[in-house]
Amino acid sequence: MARRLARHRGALVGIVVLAVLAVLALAAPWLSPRDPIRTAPRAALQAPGGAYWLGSDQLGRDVASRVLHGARISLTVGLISVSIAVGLGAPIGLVSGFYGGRLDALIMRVIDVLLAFPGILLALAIVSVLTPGLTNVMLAVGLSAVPTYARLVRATVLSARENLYVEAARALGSRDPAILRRDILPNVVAPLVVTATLGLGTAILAAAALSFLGLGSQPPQPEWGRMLSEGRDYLREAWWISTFPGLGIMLTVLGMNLLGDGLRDVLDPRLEV
Amino acid sequence: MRPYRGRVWLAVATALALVLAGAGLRMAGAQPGGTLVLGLDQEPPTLDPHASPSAVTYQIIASVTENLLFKGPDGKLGPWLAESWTTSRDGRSVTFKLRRDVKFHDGTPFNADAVKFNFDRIVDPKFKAGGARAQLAGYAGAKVLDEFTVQVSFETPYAPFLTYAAAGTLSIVSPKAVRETGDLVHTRPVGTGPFMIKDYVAKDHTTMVRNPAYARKAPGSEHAGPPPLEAVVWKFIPEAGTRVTTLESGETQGVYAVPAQSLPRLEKNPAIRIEKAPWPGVPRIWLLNVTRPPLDDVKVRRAINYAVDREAFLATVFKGTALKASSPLTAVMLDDPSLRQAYPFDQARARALLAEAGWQPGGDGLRSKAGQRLEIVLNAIEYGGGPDPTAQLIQSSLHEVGIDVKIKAQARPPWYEDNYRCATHGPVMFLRATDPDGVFSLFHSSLVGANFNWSCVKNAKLDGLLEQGRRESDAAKRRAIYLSIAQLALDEALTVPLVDELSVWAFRTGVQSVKYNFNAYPILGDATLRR
Repeated sequence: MARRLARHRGALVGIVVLAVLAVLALAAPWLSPRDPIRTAPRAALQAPGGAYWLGSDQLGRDVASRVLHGARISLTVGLISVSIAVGLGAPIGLVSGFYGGRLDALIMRVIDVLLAFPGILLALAIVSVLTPGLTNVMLAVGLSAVPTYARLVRATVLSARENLYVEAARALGSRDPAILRRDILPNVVAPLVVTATLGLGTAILAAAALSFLGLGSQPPQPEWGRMLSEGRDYLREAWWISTFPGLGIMLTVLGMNLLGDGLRDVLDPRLEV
Repeated sequence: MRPYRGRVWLAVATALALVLAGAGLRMAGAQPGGTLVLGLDQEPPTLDPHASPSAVTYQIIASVTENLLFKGPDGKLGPWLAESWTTSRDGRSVTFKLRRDVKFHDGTPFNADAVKFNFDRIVDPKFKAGGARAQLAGYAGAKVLDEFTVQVSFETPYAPFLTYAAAGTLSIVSPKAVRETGDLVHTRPVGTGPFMIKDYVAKDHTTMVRNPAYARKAPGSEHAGPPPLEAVVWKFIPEAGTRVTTLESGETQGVYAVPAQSLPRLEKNPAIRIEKAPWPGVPRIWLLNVTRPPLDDVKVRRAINYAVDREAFLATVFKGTALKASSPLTAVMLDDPSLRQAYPFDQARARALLAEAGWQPGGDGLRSKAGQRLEIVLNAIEYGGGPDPTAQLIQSSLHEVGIDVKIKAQARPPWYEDNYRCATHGPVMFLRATDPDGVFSLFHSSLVGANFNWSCVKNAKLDGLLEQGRRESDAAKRRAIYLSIAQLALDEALTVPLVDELSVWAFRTGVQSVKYNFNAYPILGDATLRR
C-alpha cells in the first residue's frame, strides 16, 4: 500500500508538504528567531526581509516566529478535533449499524438533526455556550463532525454485516463483540482513514475560522486564524501580517486534501473513476 | 452677410467665454452650496440626544440641536439659546434668560416651556434616558418664570450643571415633535440648529439639510444666517480600511477615526488634510479593581503603573492619534506637572516594589508568593477582530516584570456584568465628559456595582472631595479639588492612565472652515466645499 501511495503524485506532494509542516511545527521553539509573543513596539510593522524574515506585526511581534508556532497549534487542533470526532462517531455508527432496529432508528434521527446544521454553525453554537478558548474550539469542531463519522461507519457496517463470512462467524457461535472486531471493523478502517484525513483539513479551517471570529485561541497565542483577523485592518499598510498565516492555513489544508484524495484512490479502488 | 455672420460668431464666442468663466468661477470659488459626505466609524444607537448613551450621536447632531450654553475649544462658557444666566447664591438653581428669536425646525417657538419640557422629559422614569440622566443628578425641577425665563433647580448645589447645559446630551428638542411623532425622535430629532435631519437609513447613512430659516450667528461660528452647505451626508462605515479608501477615492470628503496605520499615507497625500482635537474626559484607562487580590496591595498597583510602557502605545496602535495620559482626567481637563511626573516608565522600580510586596520571580520569570502565581485577569471587550489591542500591550508590558496577565475577551453585556460584580482585575475603558465631575462616576463609593466605579473603591476622603467638587462653583477652587482627587487616585494607584485620545479627522482639502466644540465634535455651520 505504501508503495502505491508513493507512486500517487498528489498524495506524494501532500505527504511532503505535511512532513515539512510537521517538522517546522515540532522544531518551532528552536527554529523561531524570536519569542512569538514578545512585543517590540518600536519595531512594529517592519517589512519582510532584513531583521524580520516575514516582517513584524502591529505590536512588533515577529511574524515568522508566530507563523511557526501557529503551525504547532493548528496541527494539534486538527488532530485532537478529528480524534474526538472519530472517537465518538465511529462507535456510535458501529453500534447503530450492527444492531439496527429501534436503537438505530433513534440514533440516526438524532444524527439527522445534527447533520441538518452546517458544521461551522454547530461549532459556533457549542463554543458560544462553552465560552471561547482553544480547548473548547477543539471540542466544538470535534463534536460538530461526529455525525459525519457516525453516518459513514454505519453505512459501511450495514453493507459489511450482510457478508457471508459474518453469517458464517455467527453460525460458528462467535459473539457480537468478536464479530464486530474481527469481521466488521476491518471494512470500516479504509473509508474512515480517508475521511479523517480529509476531515483534518476541514477541522483546521473551522478552528481558524472560529479564532478569526474571536471565539478560538486567546491572545497572545499565535494562532493562524487570529493572526489573520488581527492583520485584517493593516492589509493596505502591512500585507505580511495576514498573508503568511493565510498561506500557512492554505498549505496545511491543501496538504491534507491531497493526501486524503491519494489515500482514497489507493485504499478504495471502487471510487477510482 | 459677412458682417452679420461675424457678429454671430462674436456672440457665440462671448457666450462661450461667459459660460467658461462661470464654470471657472464655480471651480475656484468657495461659494455656497454642495453636499458634504462624511464617513463615521459607527452607527448611532439613536439620534435622540436625551436617549443616547453614545458619543457618535452628538457628533452627528452638533449642528442640529442647540444648547442653552456653549463651551468652545478654549473651555469657556458662553451664551447660545440662553442670552444670559445667573446662579443662585446657594448654588442650587440657575436662572436662564432665553433668546426670543428662536424657532424649532417644525416652526414652533422656543421658550421657557420648551426648556422645562426637555429637562422633565429626561428625568421622567417612563423615559429611557441615556447619558443625559446622570448629568441632571439631583434635578428638583424647572420653573417657568415668564415666557423667556426659566429657573432650573437641584436638591443640592450642583456646579457641573452649567457645563452639562452646554453638552449635546442636554440639547433642546421640539416638544411638539416629541409629543406628536413618537419613536421618530430616534431618527429625526427636531432642533433649532443650522441643519435639519432629513432622512435616516439604518446601517447606511443619515442626511441633514440646511435650515434656510436660520438667521442667527451660532457660537463658534463666524457668520450669521443659514450655513453655506446645502446638505451633509453621514455615512456609517465601520471597517477602518474601507473608510479611509472612500476618502482617497473621493466618495467621502471627510472621515472620522482615522486608524494610526493609515495616517502616514494620508499625511503624504496633498489632497488630504488631517485635523486633530483632544477628547475631554477620562482617558483610555485601566481601572484597577482594588478589592481583588493581589491588587488589594497598593504596592502591586504602583508597580503596575511603573511597569506599563505608555510610549509603546504611542509607538503602535495610537501612533499619531493620542498623547500620553497621566491622570484620570485628560490633559485638556486637568494638567499639572505633579500628575505628569507621578509614574515614569521604570521597570526596576516596578520589580523592586513587587519584591517588596513578597512576589519573587520563578524559573519562567513570572512571579509567585507562597505558591500563588502573580496572575491578573484583564476584562476586555471582544470587538470581533480580537480584543482591544491595548490589552495585549498591557499584557506584554507586565510580562516583562513577571506579572502574568490573562485577557478575558468577551462581548459587551458580560463585560459590563463582570465590572458591576468586581469579578476581574478591572477593565480598560474611557469616558467622554466635559466637566471634571466625570471622575465622580469613576470613584464615588455609591457607584460600586453601577457605572463606572469599576475600581470598586470605597474611600471616604475621595467621596468627600468628589462631593465638594460638585458643590464648589469657584473655578480656581474647583481646580484645586480635582487636582487633589487626581493626586489621591494616583497615590493610591486606583487606575493606570494609558493614553489621552485625539479625535482624528481626515478631510479632502476642498473642505474648509470646519470648527470644533469643547467635546471635539465638528461644527459644520461655517463649513464650505470647493469642487
